[in-house]
Amino acid sequence: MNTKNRTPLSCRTGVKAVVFCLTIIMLLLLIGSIFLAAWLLQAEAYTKPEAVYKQEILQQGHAGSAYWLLDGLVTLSYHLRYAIYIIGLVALAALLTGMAFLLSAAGKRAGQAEATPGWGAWFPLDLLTVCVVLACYLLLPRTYPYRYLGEMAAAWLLAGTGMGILLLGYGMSLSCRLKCGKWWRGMLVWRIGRLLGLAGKRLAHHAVCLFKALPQVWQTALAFAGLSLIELLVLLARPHVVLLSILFLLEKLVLLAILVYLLLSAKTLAKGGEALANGELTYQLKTDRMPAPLRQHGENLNRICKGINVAVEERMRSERMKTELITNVSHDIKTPLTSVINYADLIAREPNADPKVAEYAAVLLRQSERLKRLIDDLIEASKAQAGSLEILPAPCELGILLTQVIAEYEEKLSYHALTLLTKQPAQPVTIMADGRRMWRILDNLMSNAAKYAMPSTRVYLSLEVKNEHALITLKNTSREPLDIPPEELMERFTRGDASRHTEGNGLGLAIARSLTELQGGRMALTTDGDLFKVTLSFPTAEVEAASRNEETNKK
Amino acid sequence: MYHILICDDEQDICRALRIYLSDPSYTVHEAHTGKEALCLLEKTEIHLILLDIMMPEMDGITAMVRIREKSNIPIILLTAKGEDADKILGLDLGADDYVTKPFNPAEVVARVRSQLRRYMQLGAGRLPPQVYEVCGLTLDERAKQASLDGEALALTPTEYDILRLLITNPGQVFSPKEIYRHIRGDGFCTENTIAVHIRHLREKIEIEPSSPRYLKMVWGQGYKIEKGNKA
Repeated sequence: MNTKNRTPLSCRTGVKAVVFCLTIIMLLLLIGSIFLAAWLLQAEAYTKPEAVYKQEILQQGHAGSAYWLLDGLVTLSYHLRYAIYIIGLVALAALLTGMAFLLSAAGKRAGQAEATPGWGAWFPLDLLTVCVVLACYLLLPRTYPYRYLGEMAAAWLLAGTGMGILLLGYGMSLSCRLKCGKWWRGMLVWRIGRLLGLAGKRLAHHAVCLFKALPQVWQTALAFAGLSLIELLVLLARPHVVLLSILFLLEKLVLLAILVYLLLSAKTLAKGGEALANGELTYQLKTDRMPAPLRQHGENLNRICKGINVAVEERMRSERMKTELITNVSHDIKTPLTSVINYADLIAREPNADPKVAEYAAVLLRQSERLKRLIDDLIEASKAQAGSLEILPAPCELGILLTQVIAEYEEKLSYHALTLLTKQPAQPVTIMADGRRMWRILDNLMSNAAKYAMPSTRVYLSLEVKNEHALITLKNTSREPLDIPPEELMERFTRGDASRHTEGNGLGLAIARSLTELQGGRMALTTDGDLFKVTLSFPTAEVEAASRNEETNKK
Repeated sequence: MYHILICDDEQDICRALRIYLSDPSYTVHEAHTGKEALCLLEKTEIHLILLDIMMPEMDGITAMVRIREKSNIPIILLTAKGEDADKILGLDLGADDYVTKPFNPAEVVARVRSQLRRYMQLGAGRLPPQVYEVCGLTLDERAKQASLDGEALALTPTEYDILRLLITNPGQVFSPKEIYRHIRGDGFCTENTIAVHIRHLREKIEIEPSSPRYLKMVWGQGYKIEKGNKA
C-alpha cells in the first residue's frame, strides 16, 4: 500500500534541486578536467618526470604567499594525469544522466498526473530563448588570447557555471512547456500575432458593417469600383498574355454567375408578384437563396400575401355573420307574423260575426299585410346595402326585360288611370346583370309610379344607348308636391308623401338604388316641379367584354 | 279520405292550418317535431305532409330525408326562410312544393289540393304519345287540351300554343321574339303582346302567379318551363 502512495523521485522538488546542483558541479568538473588535461598535455606531463614538471611550473609560477598551496596543486595534477580522463568521462556521464533526469522530471508534480507548468511558465518562450542566447553569448569567454591557460580555465569555469545554470534551467522550462502542450501559446510572437489577428478581424467586421450600412446603390458602385481597381492593377502589372487571358475568363465567368443568380432571384420575385396579382393567396416565395436586397422584397411579398389572406378571412367571416344575423332575425319576425295574419284572416272569415268585429278584423288583416311587406322590404334593403345579396351576372337583354315589365304592370297602371308610353331601340341592348335583381329594381320603380303618380297622366319608360351605356328612364307626374330634394327622397324611409299616409314604406327607392349599384350601375333622380325622373345607367355588355379584354391583354 | 300531417313547432300555426284544411275529405294530424312526425308516419298512413323546417329535436330537412328513404308521399315545406338557396335545397332533397311564411291561406289550401290530386290520380307510367307532362301540368297534343293535376284549363289558342312550345322544350329559354316566330298564327298576336299573353297564362296555371312554379320568368332573356319532376 505504502509503495503505491510514495511519490516518485521525479516529482519531488527537493530531489530535483539537488540533482540540479549536482549536474552543475559535474559540468564544472568536466570543464575542469578538460582544461587540466590540456594543461597537462601542454606541460608535457606525460613525458617528464614529476620533479622536472614541478620545477618548470613553479618557475613560471607566481610569487605569492600561497606557495605551499600551489605546490600541493601541482603535485596533485601530476598524480592525476591519467585519472583525469576517467574523471572527465565520469563527469560527462553524470552530467548527461543528471540532464536526462531533470528534463524528464521537468513539470512533474506530486499528486498530478499531467505535467504542470513550472514557476517560469508565464515568461514567453521566445523571449526566454532570446534572453538565454544573449546571456550565453555575453558570458562566453572572449577569444582574445589568454596569457595563461589558467586564466582561460578560470574564465571558462565561470562561464560554464553561468551558462550551465541558464541552459539547464532553459532546458527544463522548455521540456516542461513541451510536456504541457501548446508550448507556442506562451510565445510573445504568438501573443502579438493573436492580438493583431483579433484587431484585424474587428476591423474587417466594422468595415463590412459600414459597407452594409450604405445604401444599396453605393454598395454596388463601391463593389464595382473595387473590381475595376483590381482589374487596373492587374493590367498595370503586365502579366503574361496567357495568364491575363485566364484571369480575364475567370473574372467573366464569376460575373456571369453573379448575374445569373441575380436574374433568377428577380424572376422568382416576378413569379411571386404575378401569383399574388392573380389572387393566389397561398403562394409563398422561397427566399432563402436570394441576395439580401431581393430577399427583403420577397419577404415583403410573402407578408403582403399573408396580410391579404387574413383580411379576406376577416371579411368573409364578418359577411357570414351579417348574413346569418339577417336570416335569423327575419325568421324570428316572420313566424309570429304568420299567426297574426292567419288568425286575422280567420276572424275576417267568420260568417256569423258582429259587423264591428269583422271591421276590426279587416283592419288587423290589412295592417298585418302591410307589416309583412315592410319586413320583406326591410330585409331586402339591409341585405342589398350590406352587399350580401347574391348577384349572378348574365347577359340581360334590356329590351326583353322592359317588355316583360310592361306586361306585368299594364293592368295596374291602367287601374290607376295611368297611360304608359314606351320607347326602345330596335336593336338589342345587352348588359351584364342579374335578371332577378333587375326585375326587382324596375318592379320598385314601376310600383312607385303606380302609387305616387297623378291619376290620368302619362308615365314614360324609355331605353336608349349613350356613350356605351344603357340608360333606362322612367318619368311621371307626381300627385303630391315634391318639396324634398332628390337625395333625401332616396334615403330609406323617406316618402314623397310626408304624412306617410299612403301605402308603401319608403324603402323602394333605397332598395332599387342598392341593387343598381351592386350590379355596377348608377341611379340618378331628378325632380322638376311635379316631374319625377329616374335614370338608371349600366355599362353595355360590349364595353364590359372590351374592358375585360384589355385586362387580359395587359398581362 | 286523405290523411294530412301538419308538422310545425308553433302550435298556433298548426291550429290555423287545421282550420283552413277543415274539409270533410281531409283528416288532419299534428306533430311538433321531426321525431314526432316520423313516429306518426310509422303508425298511420299519411297522404301529404306540411312540414316546417325550423323545428327543435329534428329539423324539417333531416326529417324529410328520412321520410324519403321509405315513402314517396307529397311533402310541402313551410318555411320562413324564403331564400332561393333554401328553396332549391328543399326541392333538391325531395320536397314537392314549398310555401313561405307568412303564407296566404288560400294558397296553402290550393297547393295541398294540387299535390293530392297529383299524387293520387296521376300515376307513374308511360305517357301516351303526344302527351307532355311537367309536374302535374299536362298537355295533350291530340285533344289540344291542357290540364293541371287532372283539372282542365281554359286556354286561348295563343296561350295554348305558347304553352305547347314551352312544355315540349323543357329547360329551354325562349325570348318573346322567338316565341312569336314559332307560333305566329292567329293574327291576334304581335311581338309586344307575347309578354301579356304569358302573364295571362301564368295567372291561369299558377296558384301564386307572382312566384310561378311552372312558367318561370327569366328576366331579361325570356321564359321557360323547367324540366324534371319537381315544381
